[in-house]
Amino acid sequence: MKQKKEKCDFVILGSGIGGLCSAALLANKGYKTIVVEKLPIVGGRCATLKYKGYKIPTGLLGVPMVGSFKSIFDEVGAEFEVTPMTTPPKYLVGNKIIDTPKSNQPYAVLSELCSDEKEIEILKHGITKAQTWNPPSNEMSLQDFVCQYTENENLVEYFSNMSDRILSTRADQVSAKEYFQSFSGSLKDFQSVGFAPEGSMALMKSLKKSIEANGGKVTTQCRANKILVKNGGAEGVVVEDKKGETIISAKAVISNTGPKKTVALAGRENFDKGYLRELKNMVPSLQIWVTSISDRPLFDVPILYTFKTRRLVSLVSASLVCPELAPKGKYVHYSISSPVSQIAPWNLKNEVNMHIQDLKDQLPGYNKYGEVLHVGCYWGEWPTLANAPIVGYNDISQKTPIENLYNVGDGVAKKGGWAGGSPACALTAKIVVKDIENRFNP
Amino acid sequence: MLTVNEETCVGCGWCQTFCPQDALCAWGYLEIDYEKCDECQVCIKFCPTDSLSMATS
Repeated sequence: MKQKKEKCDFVILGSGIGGLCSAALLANKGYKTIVVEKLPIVGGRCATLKYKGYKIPTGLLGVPMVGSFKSIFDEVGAEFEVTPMTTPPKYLVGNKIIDTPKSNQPYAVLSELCSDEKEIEILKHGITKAQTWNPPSNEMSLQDFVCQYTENENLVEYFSNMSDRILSTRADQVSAKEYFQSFSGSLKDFQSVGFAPEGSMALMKSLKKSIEANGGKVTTQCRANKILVKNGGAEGVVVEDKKGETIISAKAVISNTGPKKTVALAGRENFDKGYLRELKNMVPSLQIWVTSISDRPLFDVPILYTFKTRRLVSLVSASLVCPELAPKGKYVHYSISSPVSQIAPWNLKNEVNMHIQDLKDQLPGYNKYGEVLHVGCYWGEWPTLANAPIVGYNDISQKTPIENLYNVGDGVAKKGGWAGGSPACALTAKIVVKDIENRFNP
Repeated sequence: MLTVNEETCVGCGWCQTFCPQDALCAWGYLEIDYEKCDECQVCIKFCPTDSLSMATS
């Protein structure tokens, strides 16, 4: 079959946050922009599944209402329909509910977990030093860092729980340096959080609308077969939909498919060995998302962080804020867990069962009124974080060794700020678009 | 017959939500209820990891 031909300024592979944010920014600047997405829906890990009348998030749940993600909607004038959460998250420690840290008192919660104020002061001093004077080495785990100052079981567990939630990696594996930087980022970006009443995919559709309004194109069910490389530079892609193959020529290619898939599409032979070795060291992380339903609230705060469980780290009852996420009179609850180690393999069935047992233990009404609707595991080729910040990780640049071929998304998140999530993915888009502007429109 | 590639399927459960026959259940691993599956292939289109296909034999 004869290949069709098309020309644009920039072509983007994949419609996750990194892809659509890049495309929205470029289209808004007047560049002819084309996004291709192999699935029938946009959003990737920011999509929303609809099942039996309930909405299920595929990754982005609590939407930061300030910071890099939101700023892109502001810049391109895209609608950002998010209902703010007015009740802050709480901790469930034993039977006691305690407040989460505020940005001006990030470690106030520690006093609830340890009665020895002197020990807490020593730990806080160590943390302050790490944040304002000399950050810990990337080779040091968070657990090793904390254990320099305390052996209090609750305090160590607190940091493990926090890093699990922010970076889906427990304290004994996560880089202490990355943890402290991401924790500061989380306090900043998540100081104001909300939920999208129609699910986070509505935000992705809003970016799609903006791209199209600016003359760009977003094509679903269109698969990238190849990134075209000539003389060490990317010059387009070959894509395929049900009508056949099309060659799209472009000044640059932006891939939101993950760095490893980008290599497969462009051909390994075009990449330096050093770069390939860096990609080989990437550890994709696992999280398990369970959606439960009930005909009454199972807890009375929208976000509850759990403590000292088998696996569970957080419970989100988003329908308390956005009733639109469940059918009338019903409630939907999302809960998240990670394995003890982020190094595969895992027995996923056991991991899911432990998660559900935790739900039953933590929520007294779960056995009677709660019901599992859906279980989603995200790892491997469809990971939680493509490059988990475990001790000794490598930062992967958004620029590939192939000229005019960029990656966006959490696999190339700018470490030392954010390892994953919507702020990180949006930030990769901003970095790439800025570089493109400097190179192509100086 | 619908088959799942267990090497690449992560158990994200996307397919379960799109199946008109409610024939799929993800619980860490994907289980296919062949009594219910009518081979409409909707799930194949929505699989993010390309792990579902129709067996040729």
